Amino acid sequence: MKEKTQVADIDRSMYDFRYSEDDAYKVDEGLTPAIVEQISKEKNDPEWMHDFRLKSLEIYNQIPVPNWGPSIEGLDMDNIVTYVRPKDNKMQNDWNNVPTDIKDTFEKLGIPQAERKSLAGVGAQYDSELVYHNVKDSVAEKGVVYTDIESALHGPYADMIKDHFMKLVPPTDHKFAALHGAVWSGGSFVYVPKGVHLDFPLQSYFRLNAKGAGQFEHTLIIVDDDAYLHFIEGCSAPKYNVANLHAGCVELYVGKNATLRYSTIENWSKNMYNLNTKRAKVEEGGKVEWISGSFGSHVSYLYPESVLAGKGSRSEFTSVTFAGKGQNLDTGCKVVHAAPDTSSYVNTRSISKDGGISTFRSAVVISEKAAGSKSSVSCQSLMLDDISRSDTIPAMDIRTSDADVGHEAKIGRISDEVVFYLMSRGMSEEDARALIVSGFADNVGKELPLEYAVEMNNLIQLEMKGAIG
Amino acid sequence: MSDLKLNVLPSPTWNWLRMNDTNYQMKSADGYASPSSIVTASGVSENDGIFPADFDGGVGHDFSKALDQTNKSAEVFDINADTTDPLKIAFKYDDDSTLANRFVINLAENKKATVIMNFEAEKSAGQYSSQVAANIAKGAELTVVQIMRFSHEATFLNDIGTEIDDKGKFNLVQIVLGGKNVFLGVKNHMSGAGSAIDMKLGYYMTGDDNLDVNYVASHTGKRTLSDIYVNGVLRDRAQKTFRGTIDLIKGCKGAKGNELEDVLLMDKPVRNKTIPVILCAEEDVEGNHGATIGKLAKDLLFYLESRGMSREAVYEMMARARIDAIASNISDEDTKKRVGEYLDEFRR
Repeated sequence: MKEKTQVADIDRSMYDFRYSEDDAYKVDEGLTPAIVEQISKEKNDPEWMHDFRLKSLEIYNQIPVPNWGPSIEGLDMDNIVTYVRPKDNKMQNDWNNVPTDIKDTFEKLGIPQAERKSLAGVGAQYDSELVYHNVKDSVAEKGVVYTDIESALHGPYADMIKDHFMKLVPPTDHKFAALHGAVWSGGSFVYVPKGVHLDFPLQSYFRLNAKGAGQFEHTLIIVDDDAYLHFIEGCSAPKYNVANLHAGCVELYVGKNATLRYSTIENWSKNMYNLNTKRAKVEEGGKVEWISGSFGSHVSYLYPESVLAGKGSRSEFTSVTFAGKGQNLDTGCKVVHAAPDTSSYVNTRSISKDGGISTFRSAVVISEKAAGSKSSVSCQSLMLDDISRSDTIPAMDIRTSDADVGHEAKIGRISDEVVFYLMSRGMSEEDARALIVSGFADNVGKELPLEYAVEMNNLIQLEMKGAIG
Repeated sequence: MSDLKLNVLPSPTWNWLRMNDTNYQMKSADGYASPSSIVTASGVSENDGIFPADFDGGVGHDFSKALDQTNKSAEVFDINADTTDPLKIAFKYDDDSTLANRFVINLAENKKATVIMNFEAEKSAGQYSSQVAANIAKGAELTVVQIMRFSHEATFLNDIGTEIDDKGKFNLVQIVLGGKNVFLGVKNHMSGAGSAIDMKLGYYMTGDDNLDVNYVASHTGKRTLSDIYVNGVLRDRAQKTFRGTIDLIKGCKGAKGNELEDVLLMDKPVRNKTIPVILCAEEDVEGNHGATIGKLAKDLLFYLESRGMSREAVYEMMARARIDAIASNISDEDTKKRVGEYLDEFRR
């Protein structure tokens, strides 16, 4: 009797610890104008932001839920707490002053170690508030700003925030962008001045500890002309038996001839609805590079978008999605070529196992103005058993003849021939299959800094077992 | 008039792309068209019958319902012998009326047959429809060739649905030359083990023509095979939407689906939409898709112009080459010749 080789699920035990949030300050469950007012008051919003939140709530109530993606019937906004402030919260820039529970959390996740090793700066968000933010002196001296967005709203960068906040992702974009506009809290603001090249990455880490809560952080990054930044975000949460919600928003402005690399390792718990929105606008000669690993969540809608607004601007999107038991991960990207001679490259991998559903969804739009543009999309999916599902839904809308667009998609299983070849070279079948699956996801791993590539491999933990009888 | 949703994508995506389906206001049919010619083949019997109520074609249920309102009957072709010569049915639409024809083709076990359908409205501006239900029994092989030549004012809705039994095969060659609005939908139900489809589409759309396509290969049987190849040219301000879905349904172990599309964009204002979908709920399968969309290579253009050809002549030659490549799959020489004649007259 031949036993089927099994690929084990991701080992999440290192993320599944939690602390009591009894002492935390929370708003009531649900979403009402009164709750939005309360959040606005807590955040000491300027008047325009207060009005913006209420307008966003109106928009949220008018827009229907998407009729095309995974079901979000299990998400009831009446049961979601949209704002949770941890006890004793005050944003710190000295790690020793961070409250013990929170400090323990991030120590377990390895955040300060990462900072000590190789980061130019670190931000850490716990539930709805930033609890720690620090940037190395040498980086600050170059004029780089890396701070929590609430502070920036009241400081010297207030006008810059007002000019850019939810301009790329307006609340009218979709229902959960409107929700974000109404209840956003926390997140980071980064400004890299003209010509500044940051040799080391900045990192933000988001931890949602509270049961039945939502996290709505806003990340706003402006990389000025000729500058370079690598920004890394990570996220996790302990698992509860009720739905949690993440509806963050990331807006990236990439200046002329500037480059921004935005890396994400997403490992939300499997009760999480991850309805996140990310968008970049790239000016002439600029480049945005998205590196994305999606491993967690119960349901994900995640499609980072690049708007290539300047002549010769470029985007690259590299991702891996791993959907296991109970997961329906709808991921992909969008690219809008809105200027001449722009180019985009998309390279994705999806893995489905143990009943998981993985959908790759993309849109490449080449507008009338984008003569001379090129796009290449490659998506590959691996089915590890016959109870899972993997779909690819790539769309291309080409509105000028002066364009070159290529697309390839492939869905299949692990090739018996390749396993046979590796076994003929002396590997066991288990090792051969593990090697193939690891190699399949390597498009993302090789793009990450070493420490994060290791973290990703830890996340995957493709433990192979099975006897060949 | 009925508001219809046509060519519905089996798995929808973002609404803002406007690719999930196409809305169309369809006029009720005045009646059915009489073929301008029919060449029957031995072993084929033709009878009046009823179009199947449970028909599931590529254009969609709205279209079937709209046709049901005026005409539930169909011409039924029962093919019980191998046909050496093809069955040929030609329609020449001379006036601007609204006509709809429905056909049922039943191909008996282990038989082989070719049906060639020619639809032509070079000068008229009506709305014409065709719906074909094909039942392909065990081991049978049906080849359908459809040539469509339409004016810039004519609308054509062309729907095909197939049911394919064990080791049955369906070959389809469709060539579209023009049309204000041409809707093509083909849905293949490959329920038989080892059944296969091979679909080829060539199109050349000019002026303000619009082509809207929905091909679906529904793999339910084990070891089923699908091959879809689309090759076309857009000129002037023409538009095209191609939806191609390989649906690998749980249980279709050993199935394989391949889809390939080439689009040549020749003039700046053209618009091409492509959405190749692979849906997969089975492990032991393979699905592949490739697409290349773009203009003529500069090197090629430069070379041919340096040999004395005008740019327009190069364009016409390359467009013709693409249609010829699809037409080369037609075994009937008269039909191939007719395609050539259409192309000779096409841009004059």
